Amino acid sequence: MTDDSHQIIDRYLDGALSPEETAAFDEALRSDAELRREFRSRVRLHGLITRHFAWEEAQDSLPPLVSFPEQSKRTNRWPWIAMAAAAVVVLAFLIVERNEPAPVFGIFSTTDEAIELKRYEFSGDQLIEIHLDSGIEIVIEAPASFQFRDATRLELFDGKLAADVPKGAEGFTVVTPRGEVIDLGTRFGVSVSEDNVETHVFEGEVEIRQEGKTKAVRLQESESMDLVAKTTGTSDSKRFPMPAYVLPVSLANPGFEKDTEVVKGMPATYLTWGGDAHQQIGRYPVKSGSEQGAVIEPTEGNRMLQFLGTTASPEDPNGGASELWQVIDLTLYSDEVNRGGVEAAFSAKVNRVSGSSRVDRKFGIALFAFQGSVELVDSYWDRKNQPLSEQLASTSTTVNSDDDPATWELLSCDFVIPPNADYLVAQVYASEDNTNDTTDEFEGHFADACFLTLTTRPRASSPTAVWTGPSGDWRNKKNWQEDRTPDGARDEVRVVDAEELRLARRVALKQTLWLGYHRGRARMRILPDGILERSGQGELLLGHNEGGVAEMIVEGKLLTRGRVFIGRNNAASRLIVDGGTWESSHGLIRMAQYGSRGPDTVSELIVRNGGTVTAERLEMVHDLATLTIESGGSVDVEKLRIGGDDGEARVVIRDGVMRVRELEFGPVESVLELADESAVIELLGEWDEASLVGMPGAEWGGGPGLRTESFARDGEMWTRVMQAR
Amino acid sequence: MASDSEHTRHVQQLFVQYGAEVKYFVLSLLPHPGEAEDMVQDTFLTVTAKAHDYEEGTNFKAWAFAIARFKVLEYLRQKKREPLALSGETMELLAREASDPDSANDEVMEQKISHALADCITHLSPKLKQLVELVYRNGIKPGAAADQVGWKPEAAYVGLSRARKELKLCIQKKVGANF
Repeated sequence: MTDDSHQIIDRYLDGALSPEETAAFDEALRSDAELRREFRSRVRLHGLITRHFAWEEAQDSLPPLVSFPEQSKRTNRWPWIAMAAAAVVVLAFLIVERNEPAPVFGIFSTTDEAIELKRYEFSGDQLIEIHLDSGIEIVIEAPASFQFRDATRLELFDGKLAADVPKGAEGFTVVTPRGEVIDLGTRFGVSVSEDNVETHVFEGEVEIRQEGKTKAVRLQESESMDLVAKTTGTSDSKRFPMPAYVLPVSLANPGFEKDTEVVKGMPATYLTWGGDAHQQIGRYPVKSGSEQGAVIEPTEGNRMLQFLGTTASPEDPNGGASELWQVIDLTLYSDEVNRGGVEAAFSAKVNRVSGSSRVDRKFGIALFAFQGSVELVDSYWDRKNQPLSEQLASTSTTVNSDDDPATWELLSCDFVIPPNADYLVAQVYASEDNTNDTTDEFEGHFADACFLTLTTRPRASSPTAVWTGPSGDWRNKKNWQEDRTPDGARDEVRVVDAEELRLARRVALKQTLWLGYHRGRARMRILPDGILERSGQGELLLGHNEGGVAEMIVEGKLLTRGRVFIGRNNAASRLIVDGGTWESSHGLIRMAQYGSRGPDTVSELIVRNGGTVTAERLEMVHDLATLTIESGGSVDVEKLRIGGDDGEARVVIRDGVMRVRELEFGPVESVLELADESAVIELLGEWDEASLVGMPGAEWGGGPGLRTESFARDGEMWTRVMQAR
Repeated sequence: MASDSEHTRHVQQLFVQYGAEVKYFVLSLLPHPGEAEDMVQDTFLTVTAKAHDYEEGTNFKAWAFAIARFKVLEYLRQKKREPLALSGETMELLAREASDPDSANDEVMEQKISHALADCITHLSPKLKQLVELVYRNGIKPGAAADQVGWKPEAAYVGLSRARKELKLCIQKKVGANF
C-alpha cells in the first residue's frame, strides 16, 4: 500500500475529509478489497491507541482534566470501562481455570509475558530480552528458536544468544545440537545455525560438554570455541547481542578507606581523588555546640572524608566550595559508549555537625563527560561553565543537609554517556552557602560511600565484514568474508590485512572502518573516480594497536563524519591526500593517540599534488605526529592543536597553504616549519612576528625569520605568515 | 438448557471477548474515539437486552456488528452527519468482512501488540506524543489539538499520520509480525 492510501485513511479517521472526499473514499473502499484490508489494519491501530489511553486512564483513576470543557463525552465513557474491567476479571478467571498452572521462572522483559516450557520461534530482526527470576539476563537475537527445559536449562535450536549470569546462579546451561555450555559465573554468547555452533566467553569461564565426549573443556575469558570444527579462538562480543551488564569500572578508594595520597587540584590521571584541602579520618568527636561529646562515624567502613577548605581565587574570594574530583577513563569501552548505550549513575553520602545557624548546609555531587586528552582536563574544567566543545554532558544534584549528625544524606545523579566521550569527571563538594560564617570554613563536613556504576543497555550484534583478498577492488564480493560487500546497515568493516584494496566508485559507509586492525597491515587507495563517504556515528581508524600498519591514499574523495584516528595505540599509519580531497565534518581528527611508545609508531598526514583537506578540529597529540603540506597542497582547519603533554609534533609546509582559525601548541615545544618561500600559513586575527614567535610551545622553523601581512576575508582580519626574505 | 440469566451472562462474556473487534468495527464507521466508545456502550446495552435473540453457535460477531451498525446509523442520522460518513452499503460490506470467523485477531498477539504499543508511544518525539495524547486521551479534534501544540491544523493531520506510521513500524519491529 502506498503512503497516499494511508493518508486518505488517516484523514478519514481524523475527520478531515469533506463530504465530496468522503464519497470518493466510500466509492474506493467498495471497489478495492486491498484498500479495505489496509483500512481495517489502520483502524485497528487507531483502536489500539484509543484503548491504550482509555485503559491508562481507567487504571490511573485520576480526576479528568478540566481544561477542555467541550469533552463532555468523557463522563459517558466511565461505565463502559468499569463494566469492561469487571467482565475481564471474569474472563481472566475462566482462562486461568482452563489452563494448567505453569511454573513461572521468568518473563520476556519487553512484554512482561511469562515464559512457558514450550518452543518459541521468533522471526525477523528483533531482540528478545529475557529476565529470569534467578537474576540471569538473556538476550536472544531473532531469527531464533529456543525452549526452556527448566529455569536453568535453555535449548537453543537456532539463533544467537548472550547471557549475563550473576553470582549465585552459576550452572545455567545452554543446550546446543553439538553439546552443552555450562556457565561458571560469567557473561558468554552462544550461536547456533545450520552448519555452525560457537560459544564465546566475554567474562569469567564456561564449561563445554561436547556430544560423544566424556571430558569437559573449559573456556576462559576472551576465548571462543567452534563446536563443529572443534577449534578455539578469540571471543568477539560484536558478533553477539548483549544483555544489560555492569561495566567493570569503579571509583578508586570510593569509601576513603585507603591511605592513598589525594592530589591537590584536579587530578590529570585516572583512579585518584584530587581536590581542595581535606583529610580521611575514622571518627569525628563533635567539639562544640549542643551535641558536644557526640561522635560522627563513617556510614560504611572505618573511614570517611572530611572537607576542610576551599581554594580561594580572585574571582571567588571565599572559594565557593570544598571540592573533590576523580577522573574515570572510558576509552576501553568506546564501542559501548559511542553507541550511546552506557548509563552512568553516581551517588555519595554526606553528613555534618548540626552547629549553629552559621554552619554551611549545602552539599552536591556532579558528573561530567569530556572528550579530549585527560592531560587537558584541568584547562577544560576551568572553562566548564562556558560553551565548551570538549564538555559533552553533565548532571548534578545538591542537598541541604539536615541538622542530625547521626544520619547521612544520600545524593545521586545519573545520565546516559554521550557518544565520543573519552572520560568522566565525578565531583563531590561541600558548599560555602552560608555567608554569615567568618571563622572556620567547615566545622565538620563529611562525605563517604561514593559509588559510580556504568551499565550498558541491551543491544543487538553488529556483525563485521572482514577483508580477505590480498589486493583488489572493494566492490568485489570475493574480497570479503561471507561473499558480500560491507554495505549492510549493522556491519563493522575491518580490513585486517590487505596489500592494497582499491576504490574506483562511490562507497557509502555508515559504520566504523578499521584499516590495519590489531596487528594487520593494510593499504587502501581511493582512485581519482572513487569516493568513500562515511555518514553516521562510526569512526575511521587507521592503524590500531602496536604492530598495526595502515596507509590510505586519497586520489579521489574521502568524506568523513565523526572521529578519525591516524595511528592509535602505537600503530604506524599514514594518510596521504595525493591530489584528492578529504572533507571531515562533525568530528575530531586525532593523530598518534596514545602513541610514542612503540618503536614503529608513526602518524603522518601528507597533503600533496594539489590535494586539499578541510576539517573542524585536528589534534596532533604525543610525538611522532607529522603533518606535511607540499606541492600545492592545502589544509583548512578551524582548530589546530600541535603537540600533547609528552612530546613534540611537527608541521612542515613546503609549497602549500595551511589556513587555521585557532592555533594552539602543547606544553612541550612543537615545530612549525615554513620550509620554502612558497609556504604560507593563514591565521585568523592580526599577528606580527613577535607575537607569533612568542606563542607558548611554538618553535618556528625554516627560513631566517617570519614575515607577516594582514588581509581581510569575509569581514574578518587575517594574517598571512611566510618566510622572511 | 441454560437459564435466561446464564445465557445473558454468556452473551455478555462473548461481547467482552470480542470487545476489541466490536470497537474496531465501530471505529471504522465512527472514527472519533469518544463517540465510538459511546456507541460501543450503547451496543453493549442492546446486546444485553436482546441476548435472547442470539442463538448459540451462530456467528456472534455478525450479530453484534449488525446491532452496532444500527446504533451508529441512528446516531449519524440524529446528528445529521450522514454526508461525512460511509454509505450503508459500504458499512455492510465492512461488517461482513470483519465478522468473517477466519479474520479473528489472535488474543495473545493482541496482548503483545498492546504491550508493544505502550512502549512505542513513549518513544514518540515529544510533540507527536503530545498531539497523540490530546487527540486520543482527551478526545480533542486534531484541528483544535493543533492549536495547543502550536501547529497549523494541516500540520496536525500530517503529524498524526506520521505518528501512526512510526507506531506501526515500532510495533512491527517488536512483535515481529505484520499486523
